[in-house]
Amino acid sequence: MEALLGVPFFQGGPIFPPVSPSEATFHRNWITAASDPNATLAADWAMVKFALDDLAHRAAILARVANKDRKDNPEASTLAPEIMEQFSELLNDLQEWRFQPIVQEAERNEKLAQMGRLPAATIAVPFLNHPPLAIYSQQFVHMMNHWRAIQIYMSLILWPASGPNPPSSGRYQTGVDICRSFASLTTGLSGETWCLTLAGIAFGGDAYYPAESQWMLEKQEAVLEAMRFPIVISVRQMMHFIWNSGMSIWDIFNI
Amino acid sequence: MNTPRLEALEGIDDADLEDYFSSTLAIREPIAAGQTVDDMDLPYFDYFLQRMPQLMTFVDLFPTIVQDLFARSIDHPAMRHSILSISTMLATGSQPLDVLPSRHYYHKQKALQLLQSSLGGDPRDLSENDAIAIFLLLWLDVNSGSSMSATLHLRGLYQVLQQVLNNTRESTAGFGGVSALLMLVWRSAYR
Repeated sequence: MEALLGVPFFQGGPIFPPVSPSEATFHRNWITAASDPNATLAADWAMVKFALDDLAHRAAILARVANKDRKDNPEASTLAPEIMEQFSELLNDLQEWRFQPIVQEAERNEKLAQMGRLPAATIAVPFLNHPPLAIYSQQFVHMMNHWRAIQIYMSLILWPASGPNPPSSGRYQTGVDICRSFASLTTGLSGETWCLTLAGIAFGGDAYYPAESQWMLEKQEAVLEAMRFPIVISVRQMMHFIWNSGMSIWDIFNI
Repeated sequence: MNTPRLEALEGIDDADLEDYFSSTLAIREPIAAGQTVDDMDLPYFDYFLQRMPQLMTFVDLFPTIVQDLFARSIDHPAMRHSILSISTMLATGSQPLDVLPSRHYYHKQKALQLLQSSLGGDPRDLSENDAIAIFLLLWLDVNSGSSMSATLHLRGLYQVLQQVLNNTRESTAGFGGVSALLMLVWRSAYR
């Protein structure tokens, strides 16, 4: 929940220190003991999922460092070289995550389901006028949305204004991919609505993509309402503030 | 018809019978630490067990999390009240979400009071269950939109986790002296 709340949003830096890759064996032991013995590769999937959380955590820490650098050097046109180096390393690790064999195989299965060669787990529902997305594994598609949300989050480190710009950030398409998935997902939605928030930030509200922004907002409200989470009351106000305040996303979240 | 055990007791004095029963584990009911659970709250435990698997992260990979949390709450009052504060928030049917039932606030306050009492005591007495109770309140805050309170609970949770790890440093049980459930709570909070 630290990455969800935003590591940088707590004065003084991260509360939980990042997990070191050297701790992998230790984690593998308790994960194997606790994971579902009836589910194939449950421990492997848990490791994959936790690796994604580690990347999100690192991104949140970097966002804080980058925002401080931007405030300390208002005249600078780019972030400090060491920050850009960390950014590049993190982006590389994010891409590498997708090349793990277990992830690659899951992606292949999703493609086969989209071609109709594997059965879809849900009824494919379109996101606005985008083609409906057939889903093979809801669990994996949630993970991919998490991965996409981190991509948008990282792009905000470089370009901290809401909206799809610059187009080279790829934010709009990433937001569309998240929403296409969400349109067809039926389970595991709790705790994943932050991916919709990031898609909404990429769409930019009425100034950029009003239909996409409205769809995302209504979807998020519907999910939270169905869960009976009181946070639903403030979602609309929060998104409109993000879209219309003109403030840096990091200033809005007071990092 | 008498059970074999009662047949064996036939003919003995009342006083002996009383002694027998008071010394027999089979007729002693378990007593939960702290306040007993109010009858009106009992359905909320059932609700917790049914609803939370749909809401908690990692249930897909670790399907027993919710039952494990519930089992631990039996002898940990702060956990019980944390669970009841969650259930009373979620089980509001179609009522507006801006006004939660008074029972929700009652349980949340009780959980906080009990945890404050634990935190004010000897740090060596802090347990995994204290950390888990804080985690449940953190989960509640995050989903209620109480980000300031959530951040404070996140910080509190981290400090208690550190203390619990210190307390169990010598232990060879579990994983680094702590249970897999606590590790999962830590990963969920870190997430």
